Amino acid sequence: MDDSSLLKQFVAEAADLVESLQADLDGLAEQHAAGRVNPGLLNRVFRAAHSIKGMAGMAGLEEIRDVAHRFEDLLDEMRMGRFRPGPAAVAAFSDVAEGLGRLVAEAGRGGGREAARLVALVESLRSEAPAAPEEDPAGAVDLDDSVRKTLTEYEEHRLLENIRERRPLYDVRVAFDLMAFDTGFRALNDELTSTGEVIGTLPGVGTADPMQIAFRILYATDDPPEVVGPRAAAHGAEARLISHYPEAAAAGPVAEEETPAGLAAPSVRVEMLELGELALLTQRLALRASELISVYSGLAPAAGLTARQQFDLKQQGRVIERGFLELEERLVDLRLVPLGSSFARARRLARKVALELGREVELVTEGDEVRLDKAIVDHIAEPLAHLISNAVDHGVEPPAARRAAGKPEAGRVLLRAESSGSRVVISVTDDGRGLDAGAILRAAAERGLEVPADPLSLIFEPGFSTAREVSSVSGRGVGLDAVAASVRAFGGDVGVASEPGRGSTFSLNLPTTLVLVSAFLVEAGGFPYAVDVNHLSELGLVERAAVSDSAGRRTVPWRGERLPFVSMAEMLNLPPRPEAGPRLPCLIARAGDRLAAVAVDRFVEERETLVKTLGRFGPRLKGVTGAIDLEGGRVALLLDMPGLLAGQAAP
Amino acid sequence: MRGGPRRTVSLEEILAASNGPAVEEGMRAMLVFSAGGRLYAVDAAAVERVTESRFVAPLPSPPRGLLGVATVTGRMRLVVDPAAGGGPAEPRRNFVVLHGDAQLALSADRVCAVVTVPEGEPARYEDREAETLDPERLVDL
Repeated sequence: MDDSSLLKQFVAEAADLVESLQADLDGLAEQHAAGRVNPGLLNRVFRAAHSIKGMAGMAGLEEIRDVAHRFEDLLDEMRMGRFRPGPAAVAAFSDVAEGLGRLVAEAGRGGGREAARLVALVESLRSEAPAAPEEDPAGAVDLDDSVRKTLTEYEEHRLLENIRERRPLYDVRVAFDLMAFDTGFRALNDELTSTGEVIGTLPGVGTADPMQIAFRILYATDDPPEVVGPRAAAHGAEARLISHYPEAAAAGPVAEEETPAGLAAPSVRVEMLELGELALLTQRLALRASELISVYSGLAPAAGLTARQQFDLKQQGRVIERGFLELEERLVDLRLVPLGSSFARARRLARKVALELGREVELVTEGDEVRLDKAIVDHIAEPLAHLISNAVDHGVEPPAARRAAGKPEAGRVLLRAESSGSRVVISVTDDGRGLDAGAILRAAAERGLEVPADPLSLIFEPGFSTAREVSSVSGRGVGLDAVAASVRAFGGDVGVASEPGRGSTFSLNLPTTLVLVSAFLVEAGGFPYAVDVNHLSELGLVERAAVSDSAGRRTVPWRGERLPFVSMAEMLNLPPRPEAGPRLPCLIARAGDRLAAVAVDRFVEERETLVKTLGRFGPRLKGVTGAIDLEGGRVALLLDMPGLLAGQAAP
Repeated sequence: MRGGPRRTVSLEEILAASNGPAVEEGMRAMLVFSAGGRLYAVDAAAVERVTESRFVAPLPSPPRGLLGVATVTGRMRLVVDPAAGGGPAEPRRNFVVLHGDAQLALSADRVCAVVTVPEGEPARYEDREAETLDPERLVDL
């Protein structure tokens, strides 16, 4: 094989390896954030770096080999527990992998500066997270010294890690017939690996039967002996619990504070769905308790309870309600994950787009630690990717244009997350050319669109931002209407601010969690509905006679101006109800920067409540984002108020 | 056993059928129910339970055949009226609640029986043929 063929083969194979390495690093970052890294995954990442090193060495690409070698060393230190990275270091692993990807793509064409940067990055990570001493497990495990001495360094480390996590350890002993030991052993090993971790396999004590071969397997699992015993017995093996952890030590809260890198806190994995179900179950119990207390309170006078006893009954009721609320909040809190991994992916994407376009763009992130519901984090991946790509592609000018504008050649994109109560705002700010408000206004006039107070918000309108000619003059790519629709679909909203020549900021205003919202309950058309309070400005009563109708557009006076007016029942296509009193209860609702008065039958109350999903078809239903359980088996749909108002005729 | 005799089983067998095929090879159990004067059949293995209908929250501008949302066993269900055709969906006496992440419940006037039929053949009840429903195609969104 000649040099060029060798190089091509290297590029093809190494690119695949780097891609799987990046995917595994994303998984590693998520597991790290969740508190327990699967050693199998870490081993796979380590092996990928090792393979890239070997392949680069074979191809004579010393710079790539050097970077991969140092990265491999660092990962090995992590495997052995001598390097305990924090979230920032784990996120930087992706930068290293991405850099390796660039070096591989440009293999043979020189990448000295990038290689030197990556070497410096790896070395800086190593120095930022020094080695942590391993805990001495003396007394915790009933394992012979002679056996301990046969463990490899890695097996010894895994043993210590499991001890540190207070995970039950078992000595599994088994003997197989020589003629068929491979299949029997594989079956047992597969079973143990799928239910826990096989730390090491050791030769067993010889059996009386010369046609048999014995093994001892050091096995860690969260399962208790009554589960592990039958599991082993199904394969003809015996399992003995060899770990004995003091009760107090297992619950010690101090360890959590001092745990380096958040890796060692004892934890169990729980499905997201399970957490949601638990939170919902808690809410159901809370509703039942509330109803029960109400019944008891009603019966109290007839039962001859004294005033003091009735007071105590109510007090106890409140204590129970508060307890349920706290439990519910804590369960919901468990669904939240930091944005670090998403931001790391955004960094990779920005670099990729910049590389493709030949631009120099620095992506800076702030608020990696801000936490958001895992389901929302997954949901915003695509909208966020749109905004990042747009910022790099259309926001930041080409180098020549930046030079001409007196700007540094390298553009800057800031990805920022900020938590505010029950909301999180994620913004993407570029220092590019900014939006052309004049072009947007001209395009709006051509389409006969009414211009809102903030004309820039028109770029989120369906059919506006996607129009080719508008894109070219406004400097924005396609898909902003899709971004807005996607974010609004689960109770979020979008915004934009821009300054000509200075850049633009796109912001996503998101609920912290999909399951718990502050909702305002109303009745419309005789049915209960809920509105996220973040979509409300205020509540008010409007004189029925003050509603004016001009060419089908109804408005009402409100605080010195006229607001568009709509009946919620009409908006939801519900049958009309007989008209009630002279004053209409109205929600003054927000839709972007606009306000509208939405008339309802009556106000009910505001409550912090869990929102249930509507299943697989839910995201495709228009005008609703979820549903809320009410007393008596009733349901209130949580309305997508910005989406519904956007669907109304322009005021 | 293709072309074998059809048999009627009790509603109690629905759950057994939904937990695994309790029918012979080549046959399948179908739950037959009526809605709007017509008979419908759905694979019994897809049925989670049958309940009396309850409060249904109307959806804004509902897609065709979708009655609204109800809560059954703690999960929100999209209630589908198979008899709606092009007209409005109507509330009925029972829900046939289906398994799966689509979270669907069918609005039914009456649940008739669970019958076993050869695969690929329509279910029949009292000499009338039931329209076989595919849960994946029930909601047109």
